[in-house]
Amino acid sequence: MARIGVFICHCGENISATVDVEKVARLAGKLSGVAYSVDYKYMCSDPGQTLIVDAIKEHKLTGIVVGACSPRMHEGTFRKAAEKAGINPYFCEMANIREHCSWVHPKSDETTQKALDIVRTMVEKVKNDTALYPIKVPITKTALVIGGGIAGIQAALDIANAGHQVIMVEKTPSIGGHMSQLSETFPTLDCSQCILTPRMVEVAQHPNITLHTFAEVENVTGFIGNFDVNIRLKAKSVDFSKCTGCGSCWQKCPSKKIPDEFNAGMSFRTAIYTPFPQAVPNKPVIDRANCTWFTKCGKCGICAKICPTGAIDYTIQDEIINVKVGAIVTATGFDIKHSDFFPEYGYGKHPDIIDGLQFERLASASGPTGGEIRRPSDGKVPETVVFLACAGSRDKAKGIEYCSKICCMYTAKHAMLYKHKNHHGKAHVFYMDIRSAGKSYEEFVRRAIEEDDVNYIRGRVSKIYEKNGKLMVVGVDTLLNAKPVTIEADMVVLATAVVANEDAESVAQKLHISYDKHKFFAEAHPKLKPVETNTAGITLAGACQSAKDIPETVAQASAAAAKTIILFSGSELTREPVVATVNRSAAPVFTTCTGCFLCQEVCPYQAIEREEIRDRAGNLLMNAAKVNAGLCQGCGTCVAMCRNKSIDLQGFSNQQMLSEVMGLLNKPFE
Amino acid sequence: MAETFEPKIVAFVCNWCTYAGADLAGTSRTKYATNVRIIRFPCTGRIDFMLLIKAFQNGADGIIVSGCHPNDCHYTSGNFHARRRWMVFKSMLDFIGFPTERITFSWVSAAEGKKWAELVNETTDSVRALGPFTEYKNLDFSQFNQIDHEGIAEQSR
Amino acid sequence: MKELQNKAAELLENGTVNLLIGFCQDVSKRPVPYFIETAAEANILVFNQDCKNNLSVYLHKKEVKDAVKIGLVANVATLRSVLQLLSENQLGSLTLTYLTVNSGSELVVLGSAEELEAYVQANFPTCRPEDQEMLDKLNVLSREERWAFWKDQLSECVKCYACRAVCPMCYCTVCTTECNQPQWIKTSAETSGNFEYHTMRAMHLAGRCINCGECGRICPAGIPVHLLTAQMNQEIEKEFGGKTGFSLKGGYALNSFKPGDKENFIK
Repeated sequence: MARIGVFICHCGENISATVDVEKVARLAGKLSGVAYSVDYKYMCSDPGQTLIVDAIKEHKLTGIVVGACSPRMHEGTFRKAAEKAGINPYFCEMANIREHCSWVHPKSDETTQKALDIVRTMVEKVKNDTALYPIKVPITKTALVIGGGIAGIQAALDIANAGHQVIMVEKTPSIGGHMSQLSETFPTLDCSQCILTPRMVEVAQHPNITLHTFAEVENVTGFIGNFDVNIRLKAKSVDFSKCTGCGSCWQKCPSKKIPDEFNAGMSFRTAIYTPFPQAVPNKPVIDRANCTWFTKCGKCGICAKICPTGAIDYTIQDEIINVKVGAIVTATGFDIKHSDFFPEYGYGKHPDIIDGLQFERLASASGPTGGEIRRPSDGKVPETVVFLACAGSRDKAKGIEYCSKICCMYTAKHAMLYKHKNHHGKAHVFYMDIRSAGKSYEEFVRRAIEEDDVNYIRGRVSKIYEKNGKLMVVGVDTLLNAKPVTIEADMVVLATAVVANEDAESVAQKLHISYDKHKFFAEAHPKLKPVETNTAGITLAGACQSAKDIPETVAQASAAAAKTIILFSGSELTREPVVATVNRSAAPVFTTCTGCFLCQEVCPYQAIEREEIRDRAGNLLMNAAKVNAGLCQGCGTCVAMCRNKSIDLQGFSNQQMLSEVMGLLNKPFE
Repeated sequence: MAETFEPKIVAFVCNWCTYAGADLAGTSRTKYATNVRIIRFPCTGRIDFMLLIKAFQNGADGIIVSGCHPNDCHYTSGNFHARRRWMVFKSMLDFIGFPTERITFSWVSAAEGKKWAELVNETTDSVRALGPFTEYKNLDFSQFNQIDHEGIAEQSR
Repeated sequence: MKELQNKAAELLENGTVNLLIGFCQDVSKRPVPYFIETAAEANILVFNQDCKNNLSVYLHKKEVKDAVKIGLVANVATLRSVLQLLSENQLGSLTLTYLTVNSGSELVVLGSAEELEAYVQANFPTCRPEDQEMLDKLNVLSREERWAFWKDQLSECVKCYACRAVCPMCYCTVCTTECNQPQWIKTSAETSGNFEYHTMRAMHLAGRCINCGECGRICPAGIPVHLLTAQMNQEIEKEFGGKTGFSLKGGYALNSFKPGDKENFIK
């Protein structure tokens, strides 16, 4: 006979403000099978959990329902409490009367009735719960890090230094990411490459890290502790075991007019190339789409002739390798919007209207102008530069309602760098707000305004057009009573929005992780689980999750590494026992399964096997389905497929789901 | 006091997307109609159509079935199988003459708290306009009116 | 007829077949299913247009399975159902030989699954005209009229489960109706319970039923239950392609999917 305990939480006022919790507790106590029912202010707190544990022991409860927040929040907490009290944790269910009830409805009788209905539904489910025991599976203690920017590098180093193997996959020919394109970083004005390259070298030389550049993840199957990943090693056309990185090939390559991605399209590169001088690995690859040998069927071939070690091999094909890993860190980074998002700003119409990354390349000593700020159109040093902050973010009408976070700081930095290199130049910044919340950030911006004489104008720009060789920037100064301001600029820098990579959606689908409407990857909980995803074993690091600066990226990468190291710290992984099982009974029935194997065909994890059922003489009687509990992830598609219900899902069994529906609708009282 | 009819809507949702989306609606304090009650499944692939029939039989006036968008299923393909199953189930119900406008199928992701609230409100409004689902309840006793189904069920328990 | 009887006797004589399932005439001159085990009995076999029973339903019975080498006298619908059963892994332990009569009234003997598949694909039947007429009539009615029609029909159902017994695709050893923990389908013959049962059955058969029409023919209450699955199969063929009882590989519509499946009814 079931003895269920019902515990209704006030959650401070979060639930009790709109739901009459005392009434719910009182009426729940009258439900058939409920032996004890009480309400309390904070069930998840220490005294709240003690209340539950004591009640279980005192009233000999066989199961509990906690009417509180979402099970996605605290199911684990209350299951542990149940376990502490000596009952199987799977006899604990949560009735979501906060997110699904008290928070979304006004204070009324209907709201209280709804809370009671939800509690009643879960009481019916608990009555049909069975004791379940965790399943243990082995863990592969190798991590996969996707992305070789600062986030990926930091995560890989942390995991490798903890003694575990790491496989890093980077789709461009070199690791380093966007940080390698920066000139100096705020708020210290450190040279970006100087602080990054030692880490890049450390990754390349680390005994625990296997680096695959010019490679992409092809597909991922499996589950936490046991992922099976296929990686496509794209054809580099250069045999790295022979290449010494001498550079003779790209010095002689005749295809010299390919827009250089590293320099944000402001200079050209050759078809065989290393992205930048400090690239790791510092060996070139051939861009086959732009290489004469490949596009014109074997014409050219100069690099192969020039190469002193014979490392060029045009016949290399893409190769797919298979690796087994236990955890995946997603550090795929971001992009900035490169389009004429605001046509009135003229981006793309005039070469001197550039975006933030392009300015970084101009300011960078390894960039196309050797670090001198020069106009892309005629190479002259601009005397007046206008910077537009918020050129594409914080705009609901344009579909990018979020703040890109880094632009206020890098705009101040760009203005300062320009002034440091051109003491007599004029720098103006049109801004809406200044968001400089990090450590030493506000001081940095004040320095730009007070020491480097950058003119900050609070107002937006309505239009930029060319007149008599000057770029006319038409804006407004709202702090001077909306006075219209027109500045004749020689160069304009737009702080465009930080956006997700173009292939972010396909990466997310390969990994089975969620993403939001802007294609940034979704964290498991915005406050308390900012590095984990809803897919166990896959963590996020860096700007692929949301726009962020370098200190936050490094912190998040270390956090993702920590989560991975925690996973690898045990000898086995304990898995939730919400798995399917096929019934078995004694001879002569053996099982009600008819061996049609529809279940096997729909299982996404190939978790269903064929078992031969034999009699004592060894004669084959039938083939029946059997579930491999180590592989089953508990989706239940097989259960809905089975016509005679021979396969059932523990934790969401047929009996439980039906009793939930019936319990919900058949009210025993008003 | 004249009681206006308030429909009972049962929602069969998947844990990873729509349930999370409803949680997000809660965290964002988005307000919507009180008529819906959610039943949580690990995946839409788990939803047995018999449960929908049982729900209608036992007093539901409208049903919402919702899960992850195609390609976003936490278990890869559960929602694809569910989609086919729903299409076949819906055509069968249409053929039998069942009012399928009382069932709403949807994809609501974990980030679409607002969509969940709108879906609940729209469904509640449309089912309220359709009126109580008496056709199914009156199948067994169509020659009588005002049948106390719960009372009879209570007595037979 | 003589040819059929001779062939049957030959198969039993030379041991190709241990048990032959065919038809004979009963006292009222109606053809009824008949099992013979010796060549001597073969001369009472008949086969004509009235032999409508789908004999493949016997292939699930333990006594038949024990005989292992089975001969089956079949019309095209029966052959289709055997093909469907083979694609569902149900007849693995049996060695089957089929005797049928084609449109030219010639005896055809099929000795293997491949021959069976080839014959069925070459002689694939279309929907019977009387069924198509009923379906067309029902599909132009309004929803309320259809509901009234089915309510009227299904209130007559007495839950005898003859439709289930006669269907070769209903081979589950324990049917969901027998399950009482939980009780999914009401066992009493109330109209709502009848709706549940027939809806469930139609869903379980959608994409598997081979439209032999036996369930409708056999119903003692005269309910055209075969129309439910006939309609479903037409819908499934239209949306997802694939015919039932067409190939050894099967291709059950409901356990596969395509990324572009219809979803215009999903918000």
